[in-house]
Amino acid sequence: MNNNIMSVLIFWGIWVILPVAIDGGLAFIYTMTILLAKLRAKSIKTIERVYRKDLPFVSIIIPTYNEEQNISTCLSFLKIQSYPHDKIEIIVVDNGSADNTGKIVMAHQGEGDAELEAYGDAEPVSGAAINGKINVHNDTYDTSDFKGSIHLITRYEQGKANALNAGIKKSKGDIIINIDSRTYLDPNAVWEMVKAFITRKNLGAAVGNIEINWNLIYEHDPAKGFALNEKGYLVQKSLPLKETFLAKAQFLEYLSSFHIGRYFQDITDSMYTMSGAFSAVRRDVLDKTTLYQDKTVVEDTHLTLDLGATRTHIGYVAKAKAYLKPVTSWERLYAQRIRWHRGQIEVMGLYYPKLGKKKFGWGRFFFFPLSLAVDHTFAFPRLIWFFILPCLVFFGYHAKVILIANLLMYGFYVGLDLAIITCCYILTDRITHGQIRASFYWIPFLAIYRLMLFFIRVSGYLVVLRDAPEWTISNNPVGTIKKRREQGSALWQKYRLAHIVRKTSHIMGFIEPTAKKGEHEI
Amino acid sequence: MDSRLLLTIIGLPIYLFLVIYFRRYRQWLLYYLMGAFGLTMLIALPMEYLNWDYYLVGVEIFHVTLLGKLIGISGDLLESGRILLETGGGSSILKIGIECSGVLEAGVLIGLVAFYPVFTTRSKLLKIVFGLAVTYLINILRMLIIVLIVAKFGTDYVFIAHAVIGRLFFFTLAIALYWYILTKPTLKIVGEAVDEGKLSYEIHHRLNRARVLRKGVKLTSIAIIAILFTGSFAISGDWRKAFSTPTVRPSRPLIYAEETSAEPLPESTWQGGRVLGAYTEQPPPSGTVDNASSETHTPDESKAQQCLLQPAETTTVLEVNYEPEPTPLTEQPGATEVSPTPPEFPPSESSPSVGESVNTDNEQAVSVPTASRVLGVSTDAGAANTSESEKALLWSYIKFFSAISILFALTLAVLMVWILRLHGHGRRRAKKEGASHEQ
Repeated sequence: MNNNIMSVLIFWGIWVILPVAIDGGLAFIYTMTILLAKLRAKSIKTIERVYRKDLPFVSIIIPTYNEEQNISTCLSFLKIQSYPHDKIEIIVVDNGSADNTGKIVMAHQGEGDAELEAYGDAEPVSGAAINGKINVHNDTYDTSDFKGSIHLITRYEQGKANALNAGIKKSKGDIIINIDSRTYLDPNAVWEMVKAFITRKNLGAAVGNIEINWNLIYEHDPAKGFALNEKGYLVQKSLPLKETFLAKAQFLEYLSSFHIGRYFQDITDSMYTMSGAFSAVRRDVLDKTTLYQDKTVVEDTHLTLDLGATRTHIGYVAKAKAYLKPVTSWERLYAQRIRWHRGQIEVMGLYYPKLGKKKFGWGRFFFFPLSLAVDHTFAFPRLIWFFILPCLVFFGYHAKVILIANLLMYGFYVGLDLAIITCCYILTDRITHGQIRASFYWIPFLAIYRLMLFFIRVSGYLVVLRDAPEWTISNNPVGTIKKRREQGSALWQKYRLAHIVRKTSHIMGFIEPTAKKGEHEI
Repeated sequence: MDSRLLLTIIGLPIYLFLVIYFRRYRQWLLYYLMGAFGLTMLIALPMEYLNWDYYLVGVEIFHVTLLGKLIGISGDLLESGRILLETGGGSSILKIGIECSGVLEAGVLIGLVAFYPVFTTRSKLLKIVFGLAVTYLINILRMLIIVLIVAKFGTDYVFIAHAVIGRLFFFTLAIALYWYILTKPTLKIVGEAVDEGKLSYEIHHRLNRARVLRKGVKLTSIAIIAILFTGSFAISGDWRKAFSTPTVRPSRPLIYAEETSAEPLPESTWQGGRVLGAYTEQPPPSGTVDNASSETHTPDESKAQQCLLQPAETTTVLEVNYEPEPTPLTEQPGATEVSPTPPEFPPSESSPSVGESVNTDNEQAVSVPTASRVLGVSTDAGAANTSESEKALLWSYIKFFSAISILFALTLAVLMVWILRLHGHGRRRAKKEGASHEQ
């Protein structure tokens, strides 16, 4: 009997040992480090007394492009911040939107919400902040109390990096916070972020805790606009199964990637990306860099690595929460992730001369190559082995063994996800606990989601090698030429067959050559 | 016609068409997946069917024993992929399975590099040769580690040595290799292109010093490994054993059958059985029945023939096997125990348990036409009697393989449709929205 178990173990050991070693090992190291750090942090308490007048001035920069659906809610959430309003300035940089984005921002600059109603159906401000009121976690806030300043910069150039740089140049703050127009900040987010900068002197930059919130998806009809309930609040959309799956899976994914991943990177000083959705930088630190650059498709990661090269400590502030709507279609998710992974390779390619050098910090020296090896190098053999495994029946293995090995592997990943989410549950607050409980039953399916993301990731790694980026328009002339050439060749492809048929027909004498459109026969 | 051959004939044009199609329409993931995976299969499957991986294992074990002798392990090379080891009180035989041959790993490496969408053909060739040489070396070292552990600590440690330590060792070095031939050049190419403001990354051949140096390093290491590889044959006279005829390939059961046999076998574990009593070998194989009783091994002669034709008789008296013998497939007059089906799980009482001799009374009673099973060629002995069951077997093979192929094709098709849809949507959406700021 013992021998029986042994041989079974041997056989499965072969297939299961690698994922156990890689994914399980890394997850174990991450969670253990974090739990230890958490225990240690509880014993240390720093009390800092700061007078209100000494609080740093905060500039919040929002780049926008055709964001009339989101910008109003985003601004409403900024207006209810608990941080002193005279210490806040909001700078919206509009990259020449074709829609009402500019007008909505101007309406927010003015007094009252009456003007906003005029911009009507397409924007949710009248719902999210009906009568200037906004409802967050069952607490009602009044947006008309806001006494800070809102600036609007309108530009007619393109590129998110340039927009952010224009905003930074205009800003006066000691701490600069960058958010997306799709990010909704928690009322305490700015306050917590500043608190982290005050208490942690070595902190040069920080990323907030971004949480997916499916409650932010509202019932919206393009013809009628957003629906309101009898109390005047927006009606939450009831999501179909596919969208629910994506929303919950993304919630769990972000949960682990922030509470485990970013926290670990904070502890080991190996922050790889300060998410563009919510990050903060000290101005003096930012002045040492060349600000945002549009060389790559991920300007936030590029800046993070530039800051890393100046040996700035980049931290993670778990209490500064921001909410993000989940991406609820595979198509948009694909586009988003292709951009991320394309950016990962581009940025790491630029960083390559510094990769594995100790003078940029031990964390970066050790963990950047490690994460690249796990993400990029290991992805290729894994891709092929994933398909070889079922084909081992051709090599004389019993189909049952392979099936059981696969099931066991799936079980392992489910267990891993369960462990990670449990760890996140310990680390999060009461509000997130409710969300985790609501998405608990989706944990067994998280492995499927991760598998899909894996394929998309490999696709991104291959696309970066041959295709020009499609999600940003660069001012680079080479890119434009290349793009035109590709468009031309696409046209050629499309009409090639017809062309060949016509040419052949001419030669064979089936049809007469006809004059092209616009040509005149004389 | 053999079902495998049929599958190959049908599958190859489809494979080629798909690869060309995906490349033409720039579906990089599907192109890469199809190309690399298909090439891996195209390399590994013939190796398996023609039993060439047995020769590979033989050569590898030859090198393992040679290296083992250098570091002081008293091991002897036996035929058909086995090493006789002196461990503590007794001696053990390690049988190296096909999983360890590295055929699949080599195939994966070739596929991954050959279809990587950025290198030139010349650099791909260099990378593949370098990669294969290094893979071979790593594999040998892995086996050496297993042998070392077994020699030092005994056969109880086979599991840990093989499944944990050996695997991790091989895997770590393989990842280092992939880093060197895939990730590192990718980062360099993309980094340079992004820095210069190019949006599509064609490779530029700049013959600077560093590049020449790297090429030199690769070529030198290939040369060193090749010299060691060939030179070892000159040093040792044992090398003929490495090319000994492959034994009959057993089908891999659900779990190793020796463990499930009704009578517990004495202290034998997977891949490392302790030989008790007489150790017997397969008779020297030969092309004709007349030669079957000759005592000398003639491995060099008519190797190809030996592959095709296995001896009709086995003269086994007492045998402790490390992998189960295939169950006799045909019924012949005088056979005592015959089961027409492959061993089941759990093995029924009626099927002959491994370790027992199939028949010892009448040496000519049982024929094991396994070669015909593998290659679809019928042997002379008992051809008339076997034709019926051969047909049934072939038919079951065809059914099984087509079922598996359909399943696989369906999976691939679903993935294909999914990715194609996403890609199309992504492009259309990107065109429509222009520079939108996704988080």
